[in-house]
Amino acid sequence: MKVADADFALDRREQTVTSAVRDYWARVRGGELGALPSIFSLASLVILFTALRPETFLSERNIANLFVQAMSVTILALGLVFVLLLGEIDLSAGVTSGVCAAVMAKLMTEAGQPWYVTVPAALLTGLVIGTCIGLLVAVVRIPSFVVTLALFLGLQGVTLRLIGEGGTVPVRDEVIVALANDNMPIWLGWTLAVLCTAWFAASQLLRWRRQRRRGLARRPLGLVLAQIAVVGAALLGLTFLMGLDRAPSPAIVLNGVPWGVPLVGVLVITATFVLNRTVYGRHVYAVGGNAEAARRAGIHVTAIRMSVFMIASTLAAVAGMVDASRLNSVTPDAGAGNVLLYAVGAAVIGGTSLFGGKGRARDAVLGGLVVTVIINGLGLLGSPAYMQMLITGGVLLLAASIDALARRRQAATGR
Amino acid sequence: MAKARQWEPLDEMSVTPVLDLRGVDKSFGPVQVLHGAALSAYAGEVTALVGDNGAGKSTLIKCLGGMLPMDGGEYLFEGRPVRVGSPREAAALGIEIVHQDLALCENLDVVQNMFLGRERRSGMVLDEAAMEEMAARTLTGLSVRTIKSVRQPISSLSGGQRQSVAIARAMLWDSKVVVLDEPTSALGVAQSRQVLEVVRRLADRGRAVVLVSHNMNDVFAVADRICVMFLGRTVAQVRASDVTHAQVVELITSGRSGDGVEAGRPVPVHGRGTGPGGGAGRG
Amino acid sequence: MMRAAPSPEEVRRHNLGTLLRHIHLRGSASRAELAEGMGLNRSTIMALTSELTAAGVVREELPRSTGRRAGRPSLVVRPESTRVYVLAFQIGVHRLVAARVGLGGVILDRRETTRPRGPFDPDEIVGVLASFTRQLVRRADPDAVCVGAGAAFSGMVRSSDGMVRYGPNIGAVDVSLGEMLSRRLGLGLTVAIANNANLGALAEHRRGVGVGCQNLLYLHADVGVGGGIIVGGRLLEGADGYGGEVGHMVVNPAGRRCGCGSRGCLEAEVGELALLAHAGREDAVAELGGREAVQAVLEAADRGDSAAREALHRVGDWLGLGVANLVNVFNPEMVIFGGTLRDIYLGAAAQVRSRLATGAMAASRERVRLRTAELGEDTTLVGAAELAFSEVLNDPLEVLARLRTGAAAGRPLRDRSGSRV
Repeated sequence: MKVADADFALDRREQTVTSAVRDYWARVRGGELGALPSIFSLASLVILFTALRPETFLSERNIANLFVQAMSVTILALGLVFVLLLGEIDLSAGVTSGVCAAVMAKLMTEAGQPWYVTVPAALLTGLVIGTCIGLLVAVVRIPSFVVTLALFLGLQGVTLRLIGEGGTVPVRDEVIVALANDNMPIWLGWTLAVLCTAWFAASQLLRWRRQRRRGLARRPLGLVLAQIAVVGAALLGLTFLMGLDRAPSPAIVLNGVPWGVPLVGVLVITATFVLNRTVYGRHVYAVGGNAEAARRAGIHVTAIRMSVFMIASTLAAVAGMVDASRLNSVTPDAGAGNVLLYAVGAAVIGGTSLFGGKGRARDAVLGGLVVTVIINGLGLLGSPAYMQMLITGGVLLLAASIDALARRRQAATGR
Repeated sequence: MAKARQWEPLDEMSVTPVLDLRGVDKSFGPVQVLHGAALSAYAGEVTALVGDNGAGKSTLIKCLGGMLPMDGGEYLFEGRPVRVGSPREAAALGIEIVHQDLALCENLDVVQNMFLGRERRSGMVLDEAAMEEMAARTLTGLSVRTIKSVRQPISSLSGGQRQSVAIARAMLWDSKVVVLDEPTSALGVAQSRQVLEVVRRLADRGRAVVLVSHNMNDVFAVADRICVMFLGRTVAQVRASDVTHAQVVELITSGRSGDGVEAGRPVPVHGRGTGPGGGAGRG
Repeated sequence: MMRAAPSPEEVRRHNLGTLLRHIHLRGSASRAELAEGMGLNRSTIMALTSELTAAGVVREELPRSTGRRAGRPSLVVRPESTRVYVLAFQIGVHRLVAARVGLGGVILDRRETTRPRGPFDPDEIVGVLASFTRQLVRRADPDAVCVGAGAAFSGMVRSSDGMVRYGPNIGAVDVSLGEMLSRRLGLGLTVAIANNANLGALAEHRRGVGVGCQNLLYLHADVGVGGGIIVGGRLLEGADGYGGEVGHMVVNPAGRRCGCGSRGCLEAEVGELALLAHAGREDAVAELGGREAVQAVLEAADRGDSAAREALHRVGDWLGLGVANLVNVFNPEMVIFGGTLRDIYLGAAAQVRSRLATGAMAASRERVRLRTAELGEDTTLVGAAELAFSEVLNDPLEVLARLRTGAAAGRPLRDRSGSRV
């Protein structure tokens, strides 16, 4: 009725860009770091590797390569974001991707099935594995750490059994191979980029206008416009870079956006929509924030807990197929080793908390890029394998420390 | 916003309590915790439930909220006998219990918490605008003034503000009876005051409020009725305007009030069969 | 009294005033609701609303969709809060507030300052308020029009001419503060001035916890203790406007000296000075200022400081006694505590209500509700705005004329004021 100073003042008063920036800075100082660490580390890593390998790191070819490399880790991390949001962990996501890829490859080579049979089969395999984990964690109430650690070992055995010791199953299906090895026509890339930018701009502006008309809390217009500009510049800029010829020899032309990029885009947008705009997503956050409160509010906590493992394993299946496409084959150690470490690292570096309740779908993209840049850059530098392992492990620890410290800071400042 | 309010007479003869528990017995194994306890709550009034530790307040509240089954006694809701076997059934009747630990999700904002578990949708998408408007309207209706934005996460609110949000949630969901368990116990002076005013307004907006409290001053500040428990029995249900502090303290500590009968004029407990309820009954 | 049938002009004035008052007090309403509430037919309502819409006092719009209701929604009439406003002033001992309050009671903008306790200097007060006013008017929308001004003064004010007669810290004076303020503002408006507690009662009755309550007592404390009494829906003013000075009701003839010269007035026993003296913290006022000092005592009492607790209980006892007397005399439905009494009541409710239970007749007290001011710190400010709006709503034609000249000249009032001040 009246506007006193505290009376939802922030919701009514038009916020200025300055005050919004000040608020943001206050939140950052209070430990709410958001995308800041990932953007900061991405920028500094790019600068570092460009300085060390000026001729190769920022070449058109390497950039395209980077995106292709980043795809599977991003998809895997996207699934893990759901699990991490509940404060749980899925250590078996990497090997799940291997099993699913093996199932797909075996069905193709031995049963001669086309991609539209093998892909659903792989997805179903992921779903079944996820359901098993979900049942054991949510219904039997075994800690997810133990369940997925057991599966981490067990599923490696399954892959080994499927493919055979020392064996390699080649992937030759055109559609699957195209995912990571073929590019979209230039015109299609541009059309998609422009459409996405326009759609993003329209949805943000329309929402802002609706909020203003109804007198709701909203960000200042300047900030909305700036965000649209950044997203638009990123999309269009990358499309342009990918449109440049990156063939190693002048005889052939190699350009365009890899087909896998829109796939990742669709997955990330869908996940964002599910998490932010649907009742299900809201309940995932609620269970991650305070499971007891969620239960008292009538939320089916067990079902939510099961569902995130199902989502994570299904997305792991997608990641496994993307990797199989990139490597043109599936080996017995697919998805084992440091694959999971990279994916967890990506989610955490992106800003998803290991303690649950905090995280976004975009974290997987930002974190996935950071992790890939490290792997890619170290590869270009020709570092030995042990160095790569040491550094990647160190980065994950660093990200986890930042997460833990930010959380303590939040508790201290009452945020 | 139309603010027409009605001040109905506080006449217990003519008004049916929204919630009426009579002769509630409850035992845990061989130990009988409640001996014919009683509690009535009226629309538009705050009923304070007071008593020493171990007097049976929380057991009675748990029976009321369906968290514990009653061994015996009557449970009347709006005059009709009902069976409340689970918290879900209590919520379905319109009984909301705000626990001491509040049960809010710190990572979600005020609006999200207020609608938790009962989100509004348009199609398959959350209707954020409608929820935000309703939340803001409810908080304004309760004159919760100190919150800067309804889009603030709960983790950034003070204890009193969190308590206010929890109470506003009960208001938003159109509960008929709201039970508040020690809402000010963990708060400082200024925040307690805020919460007390919100509690009072909740009742003034027509809810039947049950306030469980140890703090006599809080009880006198907002209560219309005081229900005193002593050793598992309801020893008095009196109008707060009829008693003095000293009388209530005496009822709490000894289960009887020496000089209280005249000035205190304790109202007989509803349902005559409840035994030692009437006025200065035995302890 | 025999009167000729009212002229059409008078009828129109009356209807416009009633409709505006309805919108002002209840917020937006559909034409159907208005017709029902005012007992007029819909075509009359339509004529009235279109006149007010044309003048820019209200606007009509489709209601926001709040649900799936069948049928064509009726247009909703809303006050043009940002366009039609009054100036409201709160002149307290420690605090000066000026605010721009829109039709419908919305506080649009405000300026305030605290000032140290010192000699009463009307020129200084008027100067500060005039400079606040300039800032407020400058910030208003270009087409906004100021239609009135009201001030709440913590002291006794003569209703006939706005002469300030007594203040708790200034003693007996005769200052025509309202007139001085009107002159300094230079807006061509008369500033109506009245006692703050009386205005607080009005505000809580119209917009606060006392809505729908025809008989209520409002007790307000900052430095002194004042009261406002609503009887049968009307403010009890007394012969000259000094009614409701409950602060100087003697409750303890052998008690503390009061600033008014008497002994044991309610003000002397429950005012902030009494609380601080009992708690042994007389110096705190100078250090912290009144409100914070009272707050500090309450916090100390909560922490278990026995002196503070004792002081609070003592003050609560006297407050309860005073309220018991008033309840016996006025048989109110509600007693509202505002200002620092809000804190004191919530901190010493057990004492206040115990005293009331023993001191008031059972029949008089059985329906009394004790409440705290819902408008909080702004009770008296909102009351000052209501005072200003009352005059406006009594003569809406004058407002329409003002709006028309403002619009016709293409030159809002703020320009006029800007050139003069």
